[in-house]
Amino acid sequence: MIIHSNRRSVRTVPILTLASLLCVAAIPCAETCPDEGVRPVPATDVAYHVTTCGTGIEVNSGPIRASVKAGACPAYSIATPAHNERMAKKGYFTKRVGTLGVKLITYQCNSRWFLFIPIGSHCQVKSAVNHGEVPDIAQIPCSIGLPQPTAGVR
Amino acid sequence: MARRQSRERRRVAALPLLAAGGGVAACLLLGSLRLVVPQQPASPPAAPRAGKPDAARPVHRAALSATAGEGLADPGSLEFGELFERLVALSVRGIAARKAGEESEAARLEALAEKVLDLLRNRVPESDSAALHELTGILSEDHTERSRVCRALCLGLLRFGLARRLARFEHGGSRRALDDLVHALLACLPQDERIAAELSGLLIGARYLGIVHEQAILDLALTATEDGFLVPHVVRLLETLWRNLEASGARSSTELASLALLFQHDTNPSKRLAAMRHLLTAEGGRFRELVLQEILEKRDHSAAAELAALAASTIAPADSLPILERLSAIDSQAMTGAFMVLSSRAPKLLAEAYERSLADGTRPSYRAQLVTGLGFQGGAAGLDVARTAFANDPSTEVRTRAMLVISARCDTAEGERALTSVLEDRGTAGDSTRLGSVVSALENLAQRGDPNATARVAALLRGNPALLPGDRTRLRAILDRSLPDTGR
Repeated sequence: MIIHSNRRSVRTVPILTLASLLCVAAIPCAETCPDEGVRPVPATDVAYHVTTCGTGIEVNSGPIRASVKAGACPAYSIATPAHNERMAKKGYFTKRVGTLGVKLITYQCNSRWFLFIPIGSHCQVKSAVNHGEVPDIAQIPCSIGLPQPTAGVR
Repeated sequence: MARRQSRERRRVAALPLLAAGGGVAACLLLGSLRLVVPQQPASPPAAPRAGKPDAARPVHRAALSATAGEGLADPGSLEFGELFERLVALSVRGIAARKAGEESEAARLEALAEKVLDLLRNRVPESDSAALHELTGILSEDHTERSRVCRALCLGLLRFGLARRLARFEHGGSRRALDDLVHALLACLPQDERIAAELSGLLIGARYLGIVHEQAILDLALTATEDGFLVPHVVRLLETLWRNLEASGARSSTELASLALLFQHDTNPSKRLAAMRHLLTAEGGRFRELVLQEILEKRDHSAAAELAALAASTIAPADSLPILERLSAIDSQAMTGAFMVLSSRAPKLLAEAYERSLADGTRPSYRAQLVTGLGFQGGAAGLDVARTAFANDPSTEVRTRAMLVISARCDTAEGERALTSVLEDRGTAGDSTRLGSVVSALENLAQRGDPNATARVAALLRGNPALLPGDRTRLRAILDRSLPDTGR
């Protein structure tokens, strides 16, 4: 009997340990899931300092003379990539997985034309550098794991 | 398919407006959608024009004969469609020649194209209306060289047509020809995003919009509640209209301010934004505080960004900076462009503002915007502010922005020193967010063309276990782009 009892207890310990671990894991999951997910924010590109670009057209029709402005080209634009932002969402937690650069794109007016048609792009990109950033955030269901505290991740 | 049908419906919807403009109409209404403009109008123009109509003049035969060698048809049978096709063909060939460096051939084709263009402008009646119809028939998703050339030519003909109709009105003619073409342009705006940008671009800031277009623009504001891409265009069309009405004396500044005050609380976003933009500068800025209060109370992000950009470019810098500072409280990130605009106008003012804010030790996000604006658009003085911020500012956010400036604008040795100092700082070692910022700065540095500096900084980053997976992937992409195979 004793032997039998001992054998039973030997089998039971790992099961109980596993059950208690699952229990410990389950309780905080139910209690501490932050219910925070993400929503997508589309990419934007906002132009600034838009100036006249191109050859324009000289209107010369009998006695009437007028000059017509050509197209326009911004001095620069600010391009924010598509990214996610945090929002309340039941059953999820969020995790930062990286960084996305917000670009400052500078342009120059195309100097090669055929009539008033630009050859290639109307406005040519001169440079594109990171001037800021947005966090790259992912959402994870609380059901598959809990948020782990990570040093230095905001 | 549904999109295409909608497009066709809009093209057809615009036809009655074209019809009001002149003789093209009957042809359009009776014929197929692909426009063929007769050399003589099918019906007389709705209103008499100043001077003799161009249509009555014979085709310029000397110019035609010059293009005959290029396969131009018998001059007597010319119409818009044929001339336009000729112009497109010459332009496509000319552009190819110029791209290939065959300058003499390009110049020859350009001279021929100019003659055909002159015929279209001056000898074919209503070539601008026909160009509008041609333009609205080009699919927005068509990115072929031919369609690009067609678009540019149509827009050129429209620019010319608008300017000519305005000039005729200002020389004593009727305004109706101009008004009809403008009505037709407005009617085509909802077709798609590209057409909206192209056509509104012809009208915004110009003197073509008048009181007769007010209802059409308000109708577009209503349409914009469903087709959101129209909102920024409608806002600027309303602004242009109000400016024109005030300039022409059709409405007093007080009347317009009253209308804007009414629209300021409208649920329609186009009307509300246009009203706020108007009130920011109207009557010497007496409504400015009212507008700011409204935005701050409602925490209206899009209005805040719009108005900040407007304030930065139009209001005196000393008055504009406090506006930007207050609006930054709503959405600091969206203010960056406005700070850059203001930095290029008044770098000294912003540099002093940074020093004051640093001394106060308050509002790090405001200082971050000042450093970014000055660093990228404030010239040499702006770079000095960025260096000071990188070395001395207590805020990590501000120092990060300064690092991005230094990596993009200073020489590579200085950029490398800045990045290395951040990576060797013990506080940064396990800070994944800060490491991600260094990857962004390295992307700037890599563009300066010093692969050795890039490789040295990358080696420090790669060895850090705290680098997040997304940033590690980005780092690999930067190295793939900027380093020779052996250096990775």
